[in-house]
Amino acid sequence: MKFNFQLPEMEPIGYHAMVLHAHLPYVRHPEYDYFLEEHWLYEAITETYVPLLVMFENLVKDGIDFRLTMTMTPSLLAMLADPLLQDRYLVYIGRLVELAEKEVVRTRGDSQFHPLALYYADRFKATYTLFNDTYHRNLVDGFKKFQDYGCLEIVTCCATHGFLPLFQMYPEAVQAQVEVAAQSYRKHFDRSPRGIWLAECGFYPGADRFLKQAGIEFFFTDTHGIVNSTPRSRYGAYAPIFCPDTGVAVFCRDRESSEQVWSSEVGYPGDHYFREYYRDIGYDLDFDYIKDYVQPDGTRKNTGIKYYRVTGKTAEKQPYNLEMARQKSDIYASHFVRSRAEQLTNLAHVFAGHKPLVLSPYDAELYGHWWFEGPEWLNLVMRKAAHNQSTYKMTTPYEYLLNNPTQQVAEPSPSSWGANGYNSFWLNETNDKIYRHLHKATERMIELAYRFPETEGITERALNQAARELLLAQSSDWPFIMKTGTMVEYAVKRVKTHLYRFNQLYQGIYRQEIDPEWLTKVEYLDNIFPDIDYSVYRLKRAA
Amino acid sequence: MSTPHKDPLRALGSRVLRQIARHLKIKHYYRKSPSKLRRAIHRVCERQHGPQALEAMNQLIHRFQGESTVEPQTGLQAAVEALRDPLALPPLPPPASPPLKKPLKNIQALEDQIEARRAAERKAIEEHRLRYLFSPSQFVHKGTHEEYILEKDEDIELPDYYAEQELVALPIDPYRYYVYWDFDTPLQAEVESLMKQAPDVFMLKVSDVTGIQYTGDNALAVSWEPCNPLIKEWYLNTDWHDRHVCVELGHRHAKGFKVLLRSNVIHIPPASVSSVRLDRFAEFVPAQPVATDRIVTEEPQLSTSQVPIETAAQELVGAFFESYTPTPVQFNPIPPARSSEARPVASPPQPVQRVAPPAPQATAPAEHTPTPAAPPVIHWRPAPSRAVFLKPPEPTKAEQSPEQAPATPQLMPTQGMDTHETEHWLSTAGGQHIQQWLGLPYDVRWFSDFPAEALPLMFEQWITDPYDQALMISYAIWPWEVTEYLPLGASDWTLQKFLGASLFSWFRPAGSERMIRWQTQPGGSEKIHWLRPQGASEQHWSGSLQPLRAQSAHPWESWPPAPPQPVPSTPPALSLASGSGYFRA
Repeated sequence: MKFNFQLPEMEPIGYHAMVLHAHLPYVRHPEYDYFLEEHWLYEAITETYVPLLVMFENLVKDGIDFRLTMTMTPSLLAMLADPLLQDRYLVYIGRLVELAEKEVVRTRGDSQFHPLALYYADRFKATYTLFNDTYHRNLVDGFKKFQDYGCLEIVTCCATHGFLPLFQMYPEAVQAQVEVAAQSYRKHFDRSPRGIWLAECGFYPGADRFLKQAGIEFFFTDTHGIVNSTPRSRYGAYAPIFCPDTGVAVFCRDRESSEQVWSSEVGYPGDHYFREYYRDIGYDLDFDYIKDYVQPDGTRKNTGIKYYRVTGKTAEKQPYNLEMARQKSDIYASHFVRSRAEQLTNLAHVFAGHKPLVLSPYDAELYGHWWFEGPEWLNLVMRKAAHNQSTYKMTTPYEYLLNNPTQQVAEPSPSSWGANGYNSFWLNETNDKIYRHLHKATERMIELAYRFPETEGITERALNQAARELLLAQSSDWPFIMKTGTMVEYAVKRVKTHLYRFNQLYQGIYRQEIDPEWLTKVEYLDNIFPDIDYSVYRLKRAA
Repeated sequence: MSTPHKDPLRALGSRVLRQIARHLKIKHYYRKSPSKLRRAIHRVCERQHGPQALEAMNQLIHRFQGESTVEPQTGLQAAVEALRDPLALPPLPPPASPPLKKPLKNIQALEDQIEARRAAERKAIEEHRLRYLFSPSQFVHKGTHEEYILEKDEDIELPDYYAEQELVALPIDPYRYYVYWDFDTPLQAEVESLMKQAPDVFMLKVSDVTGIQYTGDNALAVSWEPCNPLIKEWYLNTDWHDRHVCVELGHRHAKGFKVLLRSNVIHIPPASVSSVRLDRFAEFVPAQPVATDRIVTEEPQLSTSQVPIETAAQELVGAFFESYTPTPVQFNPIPPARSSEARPVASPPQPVQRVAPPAPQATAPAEHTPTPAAPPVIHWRPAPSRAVFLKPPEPTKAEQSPEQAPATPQLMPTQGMDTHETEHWLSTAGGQHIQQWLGLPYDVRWFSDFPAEALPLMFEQWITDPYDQALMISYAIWPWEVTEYLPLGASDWTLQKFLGASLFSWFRPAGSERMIRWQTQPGGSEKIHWLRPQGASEQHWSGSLQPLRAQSAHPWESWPPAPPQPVPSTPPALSLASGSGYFRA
């Protein structure tokens, strides 16, 4: 039975915008048949990106005019569009289907695990079909469709997720991160980006100049980016501001709605009925049975099939119950929508005459990958916000600006959304050693760009490749991994490798001794941004 | 057991040895040296093949050496070869069917399916290899993730230093920043020799250069930090917030201070909500054309026919999501507004009438009662550089008449002014201090300066963490009234509660391990023992380890505030009062 319940038409008293930040570092190792870090991408496709696309398709099918903002970083777009990684993903998901089918046989007769095994088998087969047949292996086009229609606003991000505050003394480097990002966006989405997610929300006063130059009209900071602005923001964290020198709009995150999802203690994903991330059959089952589905050298890894729920702070986990988890998702989606309505009602009273905006950014990979029920919850939030309330409307930052164009002018405070709110996660005792080398390479790249204004042939190829290597070395993911302490060797090796290749190119360009074979090899290995032009490292004159 | 007279493995390189060892499933083969690998291979072959060990080994050598010593072909040759026989490419390892403990029913059909899928996989990978044949093939080598990590390539090691003169400063947060430096060879020798004679003469000089072109002797305020120049990096604590600073490395001598290196200028972020209240508004004008048929801003009417929906995604939705039936529940009828007396923050602020200060030589400003009106809307135009406005500009005729606001937004020239100067400037400009607006005394700049009933209950406790590091826990309970201010301005609270995701703040000594080691030696700096909570200012925290200056300047010393002084008729010039250092310039 279907209810035909219509809420009375009301003018919304405020807006809610959700932003999903989808990012993965550029990990592509054609020189190896199997590479563990590439599985970050495969897991994200399986658990996050494909479910999100299915969600969009069905929301539109049901006539729900949803609004969502997504960041798709240039490195992620490059990986999703890469034919090698697409081929490898098919192998990966095919293996997963195979393992799930084996699991169906293995768990036959077990009333707790057999339904789950069937669920996984169905889900992985559906993912295979959607990836291969429906989206023809390129998920970017799937997302582009919804952006073109206007339900989804996709914003760009720094080219390789470079953390701009730590490169602020080199404006050319900041310009390159922004310009290359805009180029990549135009290539994939056939239009210019309207907004940008500065990597890790890292902002310093002056970065907005390069956003303006690239035609970008808004960006995001953490709460204190606006709350600590000068002069003090009239509407706290609940309205955008304009940068004084450029007029670029700034949105900041709302702490209350963020905490409801992010917090490991009081957040929704910690519920005892949700799926436990750390109990995977890759670690649990007999080695002889599982060995074809873990790493080829026999090291165990996550397979993606997990049978247990969080249960609590105990090692003895209970079996996962799909129905129970879905009910919990429903309850939490109701709670979230109700909380937003209450919050916006209060804010509308505090700020009489202003339509408050609550902006909730999250990592996209939180939904599905870390929090398995995340897409289900998001789906229900979108539907409940459309059906069950008329207090507020969901929107995108750009749409909010169009509807509420008059906003305050203030200088945002330097900030980031990392731990402690500033730069300390990307500059501390664990990773400070790399900046001396990154800055030196940046200086050299700028020097090359000014010294060789016009080149052609192999020198031009080498200069473009040097720009690629520098951008890859500047990724904020490497110092991030060094700080978190897992996979540190990989991050160190990546920084060193890119800087080594950059330095080789630098010397080769000066001595006019570029080995064409080696250059071809490096172009093949680090093939991100095929259309890059090294002249982005020359500062453009202000218009 | 006799060692063979001539070991056939001797002639092999470590890569082939590793491949053989991998084939024989030797544990940790990628960590072993070539000699250990040889011994392990001998052991395994003898165990598996007994007397025919040598023969088996030779077969293995033939197989793996044959694979790896293929001469690198040119792209064209390789393509021709591959087209002739694509399956001649190195095949994947054969699929090993898992020996299950219990034979399962219907397993044969499953095994067949798996085998078919494996064949398709192999085909896909071989196709991929063909596609990329024109890239040189010698670097497409097989290997595992561990090999990548452990692969020792001496070339990619970076130099420790570059032997160039530089000093670079990087901001970390409002309380810390980081500097690294490097010397060229002659200066390095000079520093080393000076370090042997007098190791304690080297200092980092930190200058407050907010709003000035720093020339070396015109800093607004200066602070000093002893350092070891050979460590070549340093973490610095700071109690200046929202200031621009420049760091210089040098050494003291009889006549003063000799500067060796000077850094870039960095901006230390503000640690709290700005005390400047000036509401200026601008209008958003989209730079990119807005396609109205795409971004729906009015009543969006969505129908399925407009969007081509993937039928597969509809059919397969059950694999991902549960079906949804909307329930007729309405949330939150809008509650009645509370009285503005109970919630002073709810009353709208007075709108700003003028944004520029009056002329310095003008007489006292005329009485002007602001009338409630919509905030002035400034249509956006690019403003000139902010440096122009660091001092109040000469007034023009347009600025003197209160009706016409200037079209270009201006920045506040309050940096460098003290509280009273700022307040005077703001009142003449039509603005308000946050304290005025909240009805609080002017000297309140932080929550700890609130009257006692509005203060949080603070609990502080020293504990020992699992690594025997002393840590301080601070726990705060805020009165309900104060939480009213939080949505607007509780940056400290926001940092602790939201970014740290708890009300606890952890205190740790600042600095790298090497710095701490050096500084705790006799003669090292005493300032290392400062501890400061993350996200708190010196006034917020009254720990006994703070420097004396901060304790004596605590605002409780001067509570209640002195009666207001007569306001001078002209705004005073920029002063150094808000810059605080250990040594004045």
